[in-house]
This record gives sequence, structure tokens and C-alpha cells, in this order.
Amino acid sequence: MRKTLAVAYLNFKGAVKDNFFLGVAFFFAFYLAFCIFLGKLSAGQMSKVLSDAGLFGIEVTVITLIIFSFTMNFYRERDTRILEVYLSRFDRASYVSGKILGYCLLSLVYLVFCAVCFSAILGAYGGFAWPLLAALYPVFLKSALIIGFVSIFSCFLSSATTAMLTTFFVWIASEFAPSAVIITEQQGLPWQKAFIKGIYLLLPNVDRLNVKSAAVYGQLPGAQYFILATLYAGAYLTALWLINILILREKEY
Amino acid sequence: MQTAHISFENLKRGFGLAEVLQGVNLQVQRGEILGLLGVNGAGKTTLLRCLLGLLKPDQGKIFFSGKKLEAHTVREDFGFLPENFFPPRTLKGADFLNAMAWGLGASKQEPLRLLNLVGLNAHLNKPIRAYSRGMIQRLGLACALLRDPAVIILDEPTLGLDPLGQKQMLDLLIALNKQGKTVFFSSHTLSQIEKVCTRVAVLDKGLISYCGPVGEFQDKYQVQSLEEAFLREIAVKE
Repeated sequence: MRKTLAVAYLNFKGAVKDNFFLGVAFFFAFYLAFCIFLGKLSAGQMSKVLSDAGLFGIEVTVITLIIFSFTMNFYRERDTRILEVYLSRFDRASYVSGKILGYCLLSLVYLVFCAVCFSAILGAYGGFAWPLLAALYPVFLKSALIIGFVSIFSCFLSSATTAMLTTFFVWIASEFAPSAVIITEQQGLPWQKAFIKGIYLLLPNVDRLNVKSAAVYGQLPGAQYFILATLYAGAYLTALWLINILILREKEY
Repeated sequence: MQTAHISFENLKRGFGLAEVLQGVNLQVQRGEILGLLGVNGAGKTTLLRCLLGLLKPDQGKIFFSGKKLEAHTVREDFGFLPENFFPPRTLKGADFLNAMAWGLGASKQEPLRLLNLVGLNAHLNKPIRAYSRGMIQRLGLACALLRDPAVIILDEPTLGLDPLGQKQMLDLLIALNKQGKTVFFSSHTLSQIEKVCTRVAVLDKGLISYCGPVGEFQDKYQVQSLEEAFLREIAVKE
């Protein structure tokens, strides 16, 4: 456990002090300013536009942050051969676990930063509501699942660009898979329905981790939803973690 | 007869069609400094990576103190400094070493003691990106020494260092060897190997073509320097 925590600390501290983290944080601050402008354009819907666009921005930036930061860090570790030092002193399972844990912590810290900025802006424009902050928890779960994927692709693929693009593809495919299921259910052939349904079940069901719109309209689901979402994300992330360990054990670094 | 500290037996390893190690047989004795010589691409790094379990040999075995080398033995008894080592640049030297020490279960005083040993105690709180190449290598050596490993493995430890940095690194290796540590390092800078090594091993085209004391190697070709002997050894095989 100490080895895992040491790797997590090194990854978290390295990533949080990296210029990329600061860059994304600044980008989010500018994006919030843009949301205020958008809100002013929408007559009478200022707080709803601000809430909706703000939550969307938080989700997109946190996922961009973890995908880029993780892949850049992992391939830098490979190029600078610090990875060989870690793997010669720590077992591979501890290394993977530490890396995933470190980036989950990074995602959490970034979400707290976003929540503070977002709440301040909403407070200033009279649109603050607690359900909006609760909606950030499923965003954190979604980011944890993406961390699992980016870790697998980084360990498995030899190119940082390919690992980044593949993770982005999985994320986008996960977001659009529910729409594909609806379309094929209405007009697809039986094999198409089965195929798309299979892909939907295989990919993380991020539609189940999306309560942004419900939160904006004050219709946040109950505590049971949050428990089930946590269990689903936990089980899925455990499966990704196990696959990741198997890949890293077979990989030669 | 004394059991070799590390022993490679008929180690083979290839990458695709290229067979980099073609049956390496080599013994590293306890408490010696063994220098692994070879031109670029001779297979020095491949051999060290096989030893550390970072690469799986296609064939052959590695023994440590007479027993088959296991992954946990590498983690507990080996310290490793790779070529071009560069820890997370945004961290401070002390942060990096403290975290590694804590993860490895070393005592709280050990990072400070090691930073003193490698002469970095005045640079504890500097970010690593502000370190010179020589300071980074010394930080890497301090990291390799955590938990007092019996064997120190170094891959081109003086690569990219200025003459002063090279001298400091080599002096540290000699000091560690005097404390009883086995030092096994690769280099193609022959003048350094000549200064510090008890024995040398020449890796050429995937095989150990010579292994023995530096003096005997020079005597073999009746030459005055290790460089000349090495060039002759390579030329003989050519």
C-alpha cells in the first residue's frame, strides 16, 4: 500500500505543479467569463444558461486534463527512464494502482477548484443551487473511468498520440452510444441492434452518470442513484484496473 | 569456490530478427566493480534490463547468490540508475527522494543521509528542473541507494557529465564499493572503467568476448591502455 501511495503522491504532485494543469485551470476561468456573456445574450435565462454551460465546461475540461496530463506524464516517464526506476523498485500492480489513484486525486482537486469558481460566479448572478454541486460527483466518477481507459491505452500503445486519440474516441463513443442504441432500436436490422447494444454495454454507460440537465432544472435524483452510480463506476474501474495490471505485467519496459 | 553474486548463464535475447544477446555467460563477484564494455548497440543496456526484469530473456537464466533471480529480489537487493535518468521536473529533489524512501519503507533519516552522501544537501529544496545534469545523476544515485541495496547497477552513469561531474560520480562508486557493495555498470568511456573497475567484461556482438582484470586484458594484447586493448579485441572478432 505504501508503494501505491508513494507513486500516487509523485504523480499527483508532479501533475498539479505542471504547466498543463495551470493552463487548463486558466482556460476554465476564461470559459466561465464566456458563459457569463452567453447568459447575458439569453433573455431571462441567465442562471440556467450559466449553470448548464458551466457544468458542461467542467466536464470537458476535467476529461481533457486527465487524458493529456496522464499520457504526457506516462510517455515522459518512459522517455526519461524514470519508469524503469519505478518498475525496478515497485511491483507493477502498485505502480498502476498508484498512477490511477494519483490521477483520481488530480481530477478531484481540479473539480474542487472548478466548483469554487463556478459557485462564486453563480452566487454573483443569483443562480447558485446545491444540486449543481452534487451534479459534479457523477462527473468525477466519469473522469475516474476515463483515467482507467487512458491508463490501459498508455500501457498498451507505443505512441502517446495514439493513446490520447484512442481514449478520446472511447469517451466520445461512450457519450454517443445511447443515441446509437435509440436509432437502431427504431429502424435497425436485428444484427445491427444486437451489435450496437453490445458496444453500448461494453463501453462505460456514461449516460447513467449524467445528471447535469436534471440538476440545472432542480430535479436531482435521490441518494439511491448516487450509491448505484458509485457501485457501477467502482466495478467498472476495478475491471479496467485488473486489465491494466495484466497488460503491464506482459509489457516489457 | 566462492559463488558469484550475479551469474548469467547462456542468456539470449532478440528483438524481431536481430539477436542482441546471443548466449551471454558472465559472473559478477561479490564486492567488486565490474565494468561492462561495448560499442553502441553491443547489447549492454539489454543485458542490464534483463537483469532488472524489465525485459524477459528468450533463453538462459540469471542467478543471484546461487539462486534463480526473482522479481522481489531485484526490488529488495538491487539499486538501479538508468541512462538519461530524469525524475519529475516539477518536484523538489527532497520531495522526490522522500516519497521514494517512504514508499520503499526506508527510515525518515535515510533521504537526508543519502543527499549528504551524494553532495546534494545544499540543493534539497530546489526544483529538479533547476538541477544540472550532474546533480540529477547524483540524485538518481541517491535514489538507487535507498534501503541499502547489496548491488548497484548503473547504465552509462557518466553520460553527458562534464569532467568534474564524471569524477564525482566515479568517486562515489569507489566509496560505495569500499562499503562492500557490488557495482555493475555499463559504459563505453574506457578511461573511466580503467580508473575504477576491478574487472572488465567486453560485450561484442551479443557475446562476452573477454572478462577479467584490466591489467590482464592489456597484457593479452601487450598494450598500455584499456582503449587499445578494447579496440584490438573488437578488431580480432571483426
